[in-house]
Amino acid sequence: MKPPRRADRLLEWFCTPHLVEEIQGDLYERFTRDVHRLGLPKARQRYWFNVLRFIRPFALKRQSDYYSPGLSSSNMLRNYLKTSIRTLTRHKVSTLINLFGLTLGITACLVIYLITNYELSYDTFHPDSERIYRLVGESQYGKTGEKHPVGFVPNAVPKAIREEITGLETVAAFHNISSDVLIPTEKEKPKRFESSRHSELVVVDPQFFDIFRYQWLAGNPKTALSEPFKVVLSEQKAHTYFGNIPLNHILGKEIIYEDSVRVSVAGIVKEWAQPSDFGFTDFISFATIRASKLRQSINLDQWTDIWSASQAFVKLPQGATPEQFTAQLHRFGKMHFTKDMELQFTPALQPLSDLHFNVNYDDNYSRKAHLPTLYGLMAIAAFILLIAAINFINLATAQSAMRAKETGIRKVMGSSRANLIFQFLSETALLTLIAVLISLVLVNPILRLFQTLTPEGLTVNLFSWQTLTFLLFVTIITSLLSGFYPSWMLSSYVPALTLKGQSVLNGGEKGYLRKGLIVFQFTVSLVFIIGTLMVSRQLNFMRHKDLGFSTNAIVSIRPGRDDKGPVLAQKIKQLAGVERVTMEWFPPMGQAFMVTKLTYRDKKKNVEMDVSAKIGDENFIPLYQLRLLAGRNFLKSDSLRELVINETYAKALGFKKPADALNKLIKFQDNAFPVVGVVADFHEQSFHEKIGPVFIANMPQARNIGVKLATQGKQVGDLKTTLASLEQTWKSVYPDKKFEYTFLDDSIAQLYEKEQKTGQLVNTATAIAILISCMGLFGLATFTAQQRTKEIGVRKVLGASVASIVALLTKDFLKLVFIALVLASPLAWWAMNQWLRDFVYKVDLDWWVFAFAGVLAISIALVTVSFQSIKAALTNPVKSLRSE
Amino acid sequence: MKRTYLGEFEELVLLTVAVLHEGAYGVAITDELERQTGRSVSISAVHAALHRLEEKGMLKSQMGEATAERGGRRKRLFSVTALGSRALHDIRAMRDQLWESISPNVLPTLSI
Repeated sequence: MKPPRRADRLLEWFCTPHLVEEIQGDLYERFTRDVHRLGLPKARQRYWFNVLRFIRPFALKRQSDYYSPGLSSSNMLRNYLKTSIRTLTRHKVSTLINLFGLTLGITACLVIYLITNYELSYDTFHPDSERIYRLVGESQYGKTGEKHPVGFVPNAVPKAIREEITGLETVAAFHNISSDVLIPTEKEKPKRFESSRHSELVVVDPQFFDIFRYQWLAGNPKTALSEPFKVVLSEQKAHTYFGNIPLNHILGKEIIYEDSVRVSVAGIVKEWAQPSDFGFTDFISFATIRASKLRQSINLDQWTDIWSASQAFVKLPQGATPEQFTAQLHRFGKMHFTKDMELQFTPALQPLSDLHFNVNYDDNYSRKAHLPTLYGLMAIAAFILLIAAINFINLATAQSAMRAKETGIRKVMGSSRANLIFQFLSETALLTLIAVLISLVLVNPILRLFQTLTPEGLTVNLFSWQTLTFLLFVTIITSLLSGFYPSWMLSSYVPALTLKGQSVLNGGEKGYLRKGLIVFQFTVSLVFIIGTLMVSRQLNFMRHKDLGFSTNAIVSIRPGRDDKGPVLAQKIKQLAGVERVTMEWFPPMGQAFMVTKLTYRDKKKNVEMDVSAKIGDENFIPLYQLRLLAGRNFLKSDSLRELVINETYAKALGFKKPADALNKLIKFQDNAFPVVGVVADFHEQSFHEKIGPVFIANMPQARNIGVKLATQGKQVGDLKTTLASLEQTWKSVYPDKKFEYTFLDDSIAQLYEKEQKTGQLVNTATAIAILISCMGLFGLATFTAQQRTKEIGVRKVLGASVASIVALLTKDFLKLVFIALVLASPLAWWAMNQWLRDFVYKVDLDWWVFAFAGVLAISIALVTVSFQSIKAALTNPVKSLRSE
Repeated sequence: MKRTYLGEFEELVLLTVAVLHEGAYGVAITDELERQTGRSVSISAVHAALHRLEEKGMLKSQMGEATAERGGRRKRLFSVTALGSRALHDIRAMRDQLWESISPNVLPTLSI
């Protein structure tokens, strides 16, 4: 005969504790009476009913039944702030460590946020940007050729697509051109602006401005480009050309491109203010092509070849998807590029948002950002922030014993747990906020420091609402991440125990969480250390591996497409300090290379394959010190007579010994030429690519000049004199052109720009990660040493040696670092394997790298910890034991 | 003269506490109220009123002894404070005054 248990529980749950007893008593009494009068079921029902009737304000549980100022009360906030500042200033070491770590973490986050946000915002601001697509495609030369994705289309395609593909809203073609610009002046000589970047001058369809909505400052957008010999300029470019005169006065002025194409200004538009790959400044009307000599370089009826300068964009109608056009475009490709044509091309659509990231669709103007690198950066930022937060958690929990009394007093004075959590969180938030402020100050100098790593043209607006939202988000996340657990733990203490002075520290959990977090920190640091080692080893390997040719003191000069190159070469040859000169197409290794089809036929078989061509005169092989394995260099001649091939090609043709290939005939463009020599393999592309078959020959295309400077017994100063005399010679041949040259080492190093950047990045990340982890370890070691002062004193009195005490204090930490090594090794191994997979020529993942990283981490930890442990071990026990 | 306002139900509860004298607690008050007034009264309403009266200082309380019929729980015993008693007296005095001010034969007599 008991009342319903559940109703009782419900009452206990909602009813304020000091009323529960009497209410329950009364209800029970009434229940007993009801059972007698009405029977059990009815009584139970009544009991429930009565319990529910007690859900009234007076009986309900309050937040606290004692006086409790609300969280938002300004008195309490002031009190929290005061205690926060006091605690932070009292524990200077840990505050500094935390502040430093958090600042580093937040700064890293902020910098990386700015970079990634900048890259990801490229061309996202155009109205209807989701409907804008670029015409790209897949090209294939010959029936057996490889299919390549290309970011450009044959010149004749855009017009045909406009006419034949139904359902596209707008099609706009344009061509990148590169030319010096002449501005006629009233005085005798026109002003000349040298062509700077390849990405400023374009010849565009008028529809271009329907797709990309520029803001027009002058001129009529509808008619500006409808006629030939018109140009639209960007505002800044207009001022560059014509000085600071009103824009309306610039309209109608003349500009000369390509020395003779005279156009007049028909409009002026504003540059994009937001990040964009479209940095075009001179928009020449498309009709100019057919009406001027531009038609020589841009053949608008060409179907058979394809140039990266030939670009086209389309805008789809509202609601259309690119998939709707796939079949049409496919048919278009089939129809126009018939089987017998050398070039096969299938058009496709590339979303505008993909333009900035997809390296497969290459072009002349967009700078590609590497998405995996961006994601990697984000991960690095997150890890660094995490490590900093872990420092905070570790130090805060380690020191919690010191604040246990404060917690106890606060609880006795009527603070609720929520209040306490709020208090400690506000302390973390304060620290985080200071860190955020410091990093705001640091961001700009850091961005300047790492300019090589940041994307070109990065503009930083620290006080945009986006950045501020991000900072707010980071502040909240960091505060919660680092503050929640410590405050939860601190607020859980039972005041009766803490006030009695019983240690609550290490009770139960034994600091497993702390140890786990240290292991985590060091695992991250170790992965970074191993990454650094491997990346720098690979970079070193690429820098120092024998490339198969000499790169030392070789200067490349590109005179251009006229006939004065040989004259220049002849003059350079006579300079003092020049050892040898070759007319060449390109140096053996670099970004540019050409592949052509060669055929070898013997009695049994017919070998046709793509072979890379190295074009140069008879000085090419000796200048680059290519090693001849058999035969001889080709003889001096004006045209193609003889070939030298590399070992790989000789093997590919089926010759066992290089010498077997000599005097065999190889067919190139319908004529057969004898092989006169075989050179040892050399690298012609970056180490990402395998060495393929190569032939070296003299052809008239060899218009560039390679100069080997004499280095024997020379100093850097002499080199400068030689370069100066090179420039003089250049000026004597080309008085109008700027002298430009590149050192071969530099241009080869450029092949590894991405890797260099990765290297620098990993180095920085490693340094930061190690620094923060070590500071955390240092703080913990300081704290442990302090806590165990008495124990150490007693041990020393009993005869322990300094060494044994240091070992005692250090052992625990080293154990953790060791566990971290065990965890980090497979992770790092996997990650580095992924990275190295991109290279054909690479270093091995040797076990000693891991061992070395481990030793490094252990010694860093040892140095960090031992400073404190030695100090503790050397303390005179009299001092530590005196006060009790 | 300013007085703390007493609601009708509160007044009844306060009076009942006085009626019950030593044994005034939740259920007893409820029962007595039901018996005297003939209306059904809920325990929670009585509790709420007691709570309010105590806050107003018209009642004081102490915990009594635990009894078996209450499942071993103690009861809270209420008694009227000086303020409570004064409030009751005031109300009564005011009513008496009002009754006396009514002219005879104004109110129709009720035959019971």
